[in-house]
Amino acid sequence: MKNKFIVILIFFLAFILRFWLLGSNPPSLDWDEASLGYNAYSILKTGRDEYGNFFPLSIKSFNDYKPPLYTYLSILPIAIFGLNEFSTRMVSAILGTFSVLIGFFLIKKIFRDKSNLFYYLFMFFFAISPWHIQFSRTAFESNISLFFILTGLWLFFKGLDTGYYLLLSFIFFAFSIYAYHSPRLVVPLLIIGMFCIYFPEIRQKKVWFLTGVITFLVLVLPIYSQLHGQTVARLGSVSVVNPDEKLGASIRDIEYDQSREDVLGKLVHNRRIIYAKEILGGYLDHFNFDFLFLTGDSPGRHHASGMGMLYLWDSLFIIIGIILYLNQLNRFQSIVIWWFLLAPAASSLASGTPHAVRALLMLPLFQVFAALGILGIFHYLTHRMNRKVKFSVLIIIFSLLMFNFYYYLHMYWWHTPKEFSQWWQYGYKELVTEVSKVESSYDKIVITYRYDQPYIYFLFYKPIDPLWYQEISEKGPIVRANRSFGKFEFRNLDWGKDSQLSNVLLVGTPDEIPQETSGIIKNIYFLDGKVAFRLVGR
Amino acid sequence: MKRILFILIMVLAFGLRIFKLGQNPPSLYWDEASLGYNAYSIATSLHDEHGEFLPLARFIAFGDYKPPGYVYAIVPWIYLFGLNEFSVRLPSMIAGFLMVVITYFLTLKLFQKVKMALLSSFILAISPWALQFSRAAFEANLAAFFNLTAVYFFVSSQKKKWLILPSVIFFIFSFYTFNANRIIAPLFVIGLLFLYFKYLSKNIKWLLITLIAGIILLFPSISYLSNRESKLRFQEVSIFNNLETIKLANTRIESDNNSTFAKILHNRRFMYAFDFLQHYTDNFTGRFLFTSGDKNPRLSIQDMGEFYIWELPFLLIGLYFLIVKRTKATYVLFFWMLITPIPAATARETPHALRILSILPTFQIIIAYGLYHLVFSLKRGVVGALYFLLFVICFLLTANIYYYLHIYYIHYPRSWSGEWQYGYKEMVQAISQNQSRYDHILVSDALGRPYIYFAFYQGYPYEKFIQDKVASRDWFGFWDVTALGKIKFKIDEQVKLDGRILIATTPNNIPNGYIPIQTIPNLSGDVVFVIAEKI
Repeated sequence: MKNKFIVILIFFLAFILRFWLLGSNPPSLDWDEASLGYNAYSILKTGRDEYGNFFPLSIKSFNDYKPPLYTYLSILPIAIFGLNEFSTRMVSAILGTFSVLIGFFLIKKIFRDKSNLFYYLFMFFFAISPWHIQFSRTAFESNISLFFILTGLWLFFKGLDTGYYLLLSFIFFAFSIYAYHSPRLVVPLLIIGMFCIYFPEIRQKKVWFLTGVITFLVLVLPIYSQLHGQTVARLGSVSVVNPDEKLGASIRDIEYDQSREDVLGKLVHNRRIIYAKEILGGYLDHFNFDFLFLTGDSPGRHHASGMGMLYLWDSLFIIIGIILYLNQLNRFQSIVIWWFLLAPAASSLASGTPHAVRALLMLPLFQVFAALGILGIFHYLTHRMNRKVKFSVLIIIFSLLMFNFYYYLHMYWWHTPKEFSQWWQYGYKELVTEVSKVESSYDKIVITYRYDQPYIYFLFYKPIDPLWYQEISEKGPIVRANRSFGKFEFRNLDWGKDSQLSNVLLVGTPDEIPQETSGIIKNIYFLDGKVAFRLVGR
Repeated sequence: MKRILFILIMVLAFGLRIFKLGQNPPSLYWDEASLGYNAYSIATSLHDEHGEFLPLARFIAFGDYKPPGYVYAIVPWIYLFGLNEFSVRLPSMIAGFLMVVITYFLTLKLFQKVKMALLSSFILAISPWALQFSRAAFEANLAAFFNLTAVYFFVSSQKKKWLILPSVIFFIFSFYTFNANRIIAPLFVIGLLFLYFKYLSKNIKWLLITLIAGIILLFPSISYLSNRESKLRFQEVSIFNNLETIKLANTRIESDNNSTFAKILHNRRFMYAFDFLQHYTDNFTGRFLFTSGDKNPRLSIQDMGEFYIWELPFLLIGLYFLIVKRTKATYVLFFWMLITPIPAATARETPHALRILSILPTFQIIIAYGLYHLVFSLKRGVVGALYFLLFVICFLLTANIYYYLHIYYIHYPRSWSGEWQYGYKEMVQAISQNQSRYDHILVSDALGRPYIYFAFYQGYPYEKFIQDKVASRDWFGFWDVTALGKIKFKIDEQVKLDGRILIATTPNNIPNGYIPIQTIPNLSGDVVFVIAEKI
């Protein structure tokens, strides 16, 4: 009874941390969130996405072909609560909250011989993890893929006892592949690892395992058969495997070696070696101290200001935890190493490492290690020290954690929205409201493309009837930075020319529209007080 | 067998360090030229380029206040081989070689296993990090050698009590050789006193003698360290005078309505501590250590990390076993690794392979430990797997060393000769041949500090140098030499000269009326200097 009560309490804590003011912090929808929301709305109303594709397998969106699961799951909340920030982010928050619970069940399965204290510590750390809270409070596909993988793993371990769970497990793994890009590489490798590690157990459940694998393969076939087209296009746009100045240098080196008749030069300066080095470098980046504990990765959308992905407090206990884990390593628990080493693999193939979203699968292993570390210290104190020392040390450790937790909440709720509002494309919602008030008195409305993808916010917040919009978007290829529908034109302003137009509403950045222009209707500000948009009537 | 292996490793270490020592890196960087000329000046006149008699606290040099150790280390080689690239780089090369020798003996002391000692000295012998710094005149490398020797003597002093004296003397040498070691050495001594407290308390006699000797040796530097000059260089690169940090702290406090609690929470000292921690841990990032190395092309060859990639797993295995089997060695090595980056972490450019160089050879010992454990624990298991593993390791090792040597000897000088200020030597030689035929000689200072190359390559005699030099000091304390006899380094101020004039300047900057007679390219083929004349 008491045990259940603790779990429910932590679950409730996780729920509050993820749902409290869900629509208002982060302060606004970023363009990916807006796109997910609008496409779900579009499918809800018409069965087609914004481009008129009928129940698509991947959402074209900004030509980045988003995995479809988040959009489909958002249909229900949007049907109930309407198209707004809360309903768009809800799927992530719900599955994020349940990830904490599933994580608890999973860790109980992997670490079978540990005390209850360990499971609670782990669950508590997972519930308050800044990294996990960050992505559970936003419509990020990566977060729901984590949920499906955790569930898949948990069901897999249940399946080792009761066969038919294996089938369920593989269905969840297949879902994860429909949820985000990273699992397409990580999940198959994870499954191979599990097959090797748990071979003796799997042999007892041959039939269910094979059924599961076959189901998995059938379910994911459509995704992998698309890989050559769209996913490769996306990989190309973010990949390290892109020609750049490094390759240029290597080509010059090869030419020089050829002029010296050095045959091995071609091997040494081979571009595959250069890629491999870049990939390894990107991989190792995910273990950088400042990424994990001090500053996080570079986009401000991925963490609170002044925080790393984890608590600085964690650093010591994670190290202790890893050592203790390795010390008592056995076959059954060795999946944790494989998982830990695999998690950043997909992320390291792309540029912009370390990357908190693509490497989200490193969660909740850091929390496992932190819990192991604390548990180790607890045992050490119990066996080696008297009660007084034990309690004072534990109180110090706990108060430091609470201080760090408080600091995080303070930064997340108070300073981050102000300092990082620009990262969240803040201002578009206010812009749509302002423009809607006055749009009837102008023939044309020109909106700047400087902050990228403005059109999606007009679709989202007005909201524009998907059926009407699909007819426009189906017509022809859409050029980035030059879109239009209805009265709206989305392009960068050319102030010299555009200021001469008449009966037009111009919306531009402070760079584009000088401060002392006459006829400024309104300025829209970021939360740190800088001007985001100026609205000028002509 | 073991003796042969030892000799082979030493021959390898020596060969890799001395082969083409004066020619690759392809030319002298200005700090090397400055060290060399000051040593030459000392060797011939007992005065430095600023006319100071045997400076002990520091050499003024460019106004960057170089520690004296390296300059004095060059002096004997000037007598033997004259003033050239080889003698300037020789102290660093010898220090690098002796580090391999001492690493063998230190590892033997710490682990009592000959195989371990052979492995770690081998890994240091071929280490790209160690090689890079052993092949050019880097004060840090000499300081790292002193540091290592000091640690070795300290560890040995458990058996022979008097060795505590040379240990501290070597720490003081490192103190006099490189700026970072002015912080590392005292921290190290304090740490070792704690680690070996039990044993030291039985060695009061030698401890006292050492203390007295130490104070006497530190005496010359005290007045220097307490004045403004010594702090200038530190402040120039320090993270603790970053105004952005203070601004951010103030904005956050203001946004919290200036409450007392906010002043504690967003205290700038916390933020500086954060900054420090970030710069500190930068030195342990995987990308720096294993794939890209230091960003400065003089400090790494750019195409690989500070280590070979194949060493990565063994570093991790070594760390693991070191932690699990805690011995005195664990504490010494960890302490060593943790304090060395402290001075580097107070500066903006991190990670920094030069400023943390005294961390050598801790990494190499740990890699050797990992290798040792894997190979010799597997030996008890499956022999077939062992041979397979050994084969794989040897293959990777050979391929990776070939990769390094190929890039270092074939491409590195070509790609980065500009970074080594290639072209100055050729320019000075071209001018020296014809110097007497012209009334004035103008040399551009666009590439920085040309005077030191004239002093170096012309072997400018000390008295004449002091006489001929026209110099001024800027606000930061740097000396700007504007003329050396009839060679003038400020072209813009000299355009109205009459008579026969020879000019050496960067391409596209030749004034009207001059006829180009020679161009000097660097090894990538870009023209560095154009020499032109007006008659």
